[in-house]
Amino acid sequence: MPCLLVVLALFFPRIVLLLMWFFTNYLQRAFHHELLYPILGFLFAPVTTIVYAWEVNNHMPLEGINLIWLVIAVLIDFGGLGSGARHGYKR
Amino acid sequence: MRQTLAFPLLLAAVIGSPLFGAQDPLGHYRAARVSKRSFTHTAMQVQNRSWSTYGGGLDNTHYSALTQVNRDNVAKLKVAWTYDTGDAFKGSEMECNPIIVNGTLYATTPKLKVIALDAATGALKWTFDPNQGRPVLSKMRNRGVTYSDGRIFFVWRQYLYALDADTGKLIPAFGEDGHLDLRKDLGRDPALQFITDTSPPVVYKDLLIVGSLVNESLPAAPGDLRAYDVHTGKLRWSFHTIPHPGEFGYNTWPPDAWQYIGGVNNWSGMSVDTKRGIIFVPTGSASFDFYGSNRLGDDLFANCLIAINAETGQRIWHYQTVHHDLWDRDLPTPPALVSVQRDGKSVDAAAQLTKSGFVYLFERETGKPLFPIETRRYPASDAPGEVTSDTQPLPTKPAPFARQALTADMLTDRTPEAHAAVLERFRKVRSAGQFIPPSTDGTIVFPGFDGGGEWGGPAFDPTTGILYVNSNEMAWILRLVPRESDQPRSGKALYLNECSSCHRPDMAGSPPEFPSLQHISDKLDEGDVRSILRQGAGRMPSFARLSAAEMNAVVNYVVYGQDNALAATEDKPSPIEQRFRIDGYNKFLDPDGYPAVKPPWGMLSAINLNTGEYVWKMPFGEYPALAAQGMRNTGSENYGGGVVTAGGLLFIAATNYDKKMHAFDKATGKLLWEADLPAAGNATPAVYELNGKQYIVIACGGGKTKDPSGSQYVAFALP
Repeated sequence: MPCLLVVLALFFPRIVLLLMWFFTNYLQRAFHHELLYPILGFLFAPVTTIVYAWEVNNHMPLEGINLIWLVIAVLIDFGGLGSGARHGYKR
Repeated sequence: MRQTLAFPLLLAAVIGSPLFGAQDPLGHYRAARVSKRSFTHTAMQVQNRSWSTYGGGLDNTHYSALTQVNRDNVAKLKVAWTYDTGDAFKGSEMECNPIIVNGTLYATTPKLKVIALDAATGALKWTFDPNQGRPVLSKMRNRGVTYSDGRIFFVWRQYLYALDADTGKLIPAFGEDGHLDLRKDLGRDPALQFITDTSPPVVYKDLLIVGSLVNESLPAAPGDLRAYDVHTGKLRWSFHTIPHPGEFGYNTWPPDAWQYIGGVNNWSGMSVDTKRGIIFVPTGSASFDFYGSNRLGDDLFANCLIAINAETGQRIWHYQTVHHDLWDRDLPTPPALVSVQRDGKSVDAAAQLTKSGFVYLFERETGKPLFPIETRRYPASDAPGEVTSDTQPLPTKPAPFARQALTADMLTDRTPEAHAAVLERFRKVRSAGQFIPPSTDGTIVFPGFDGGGEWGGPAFDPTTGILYVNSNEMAWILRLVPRESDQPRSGKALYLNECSSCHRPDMAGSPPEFPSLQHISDKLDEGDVRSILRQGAGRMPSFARLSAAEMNAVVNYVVYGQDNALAATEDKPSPIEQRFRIDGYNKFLDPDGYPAVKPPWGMLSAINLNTGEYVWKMPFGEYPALAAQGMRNTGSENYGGGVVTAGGLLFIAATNYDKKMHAFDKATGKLLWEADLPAAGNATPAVYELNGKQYIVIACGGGKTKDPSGSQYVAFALP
């Protein structure tokens, strides 16, 4: 089950974000009820947003292994954007 | 702070990447601008419109930029909501300055539960009860909590707790299952230490910096200032306020004092200059407060304002306001971090109040005084073994905000009988102003042990440079009495040595601060008394260090009046066993319980820190019973601070007897509005805006008079 959630978050991060937004208060707690950062995260860095929200909700310090998870998330978001850029270029 | 910044930085990393730019350069530009603007806006919100930190901000200026409630409409203020904690009991207090974050108000109750309320309605969201069902037998004092990145930090007894701000649940990743034991990491046996904290810790970057309240008699824990990782609770640095060998200030003590002296603690809170990364830490006196033959010397860093590098714990500068303190002249409040005009330039400064009624003003980076400080000579002590400091510092400007010496012509003339009674007592004691050494005759301390300036602290208006100070003008009598013996060998002797300084030799105490123990068995059973002795209560330290036989002997004496003998021991003389104790914390009162000095008994002052001159000054508070007899505007004891607003107002409750919330015109001191409270508001209000409405909320706990204590938070707003 946890693996399925990770796979969902990796392949459909924006759908996961929407589910989190509408059915939990994970994002509200992570971003202190601010709207802007979740929206920007949804648009530009969905995986990073999910990982960040998960760490904040579990009160994990943003250092050590937790920081590495975030860096990986940023790289995945880079990859998604880069892939989009390449598609755009080819077309 | 680091956590708050982390996500915007990560987002910027993604948006700012070349890959992102390749996808949409225009979008990148727009997104970056929006993000920056939003962040700045959020920061401004926190600074100006909310009250997310004790004292209104880490600068402790008690200033609100809100203007919705102002001079023109303040008379229309009404109660918007009240919340009754239901926790009041005889003598309980509620001194909490609440904080408001994301629409939730966080505060503590008289039994030291933490509560989260909807800040717009006062509806309860959650409660955390550290007592876990155990009965609360005595006063528990707390002045606030700390918020950081979704967590609430607060201190209950010796434990520093971390709670989830949304749920009130403990955060297991912090310390040991959500809490730290502050008795640890002091270099002494944790089981024998009494330590707690009444003021909330501060957060700088990822550091949680914590002061302490410790025993004022020996043995006492040292007042080390400590910084913990805000996420894990791991100790990052300690600052030894009683220096260890090789550390700066060590030579101002006897060589081994760092191992047995305690105190020199920061109980009144601290301020943080976030731009410079400096924390400003006011400290209290060394224990034992009133006789210091085992701590001869200046006793650095007691009674100091210390500027410390917040990241490393290294001292930057310090200023000692009393050398070798013998009068309990703790610095009672964190300094207000202000900006003042000097020679046409703005200078960042720290304004520090004292119990003796002075304002020190120091340049923040160097500690240079911004008004001259002169050194005066004072008489030597005639108490055997005591060596007082020859000199003490006194600021030349601003003039003191409280009277400095009690003379016979200042004694009460409220009635001829009252005057005669206090005059008779006055003739038997010494009174000649500040720094007259404690004596067996008795010495007047004026302003008294509670100030002068007190823990509520000042409010500072950055738009005018005016500092608002509420203060007390009560005289107290300090009298040394010889201890019975070096080795007390009975229950009574133990009581006299360990307990009588506060509860007095006849157990009458000085209520309500130091309760009477006479007929204690009518209120508490033997187990309750034993429990209080083990745990401590309010200002009372724990006596867990007593052996079982000693504990039994004291309990039997206090509860049943039995003076049981104890077997002799062969312990070596201890450096903490001294020749003198005091005969109690005694306010100088007339036979009817009113102050022995002529009014004013409490004052409210507005001081221009640019010039050092007073803008206005007036008596603050009154006794309803005396007012009914025509004796008005006497001023009265008052505790808790004020808040100054951009709407032209000074909000303050504080007064002990008339139990009112007041709004004054900050420019003139004219009273514009007042409201009755359910109990005295001995706390600092919080001023915040939510959903377009400005609120002023105050804790009404009372507990400093014989009137019933209160348990309500009351919020005011325009209809």
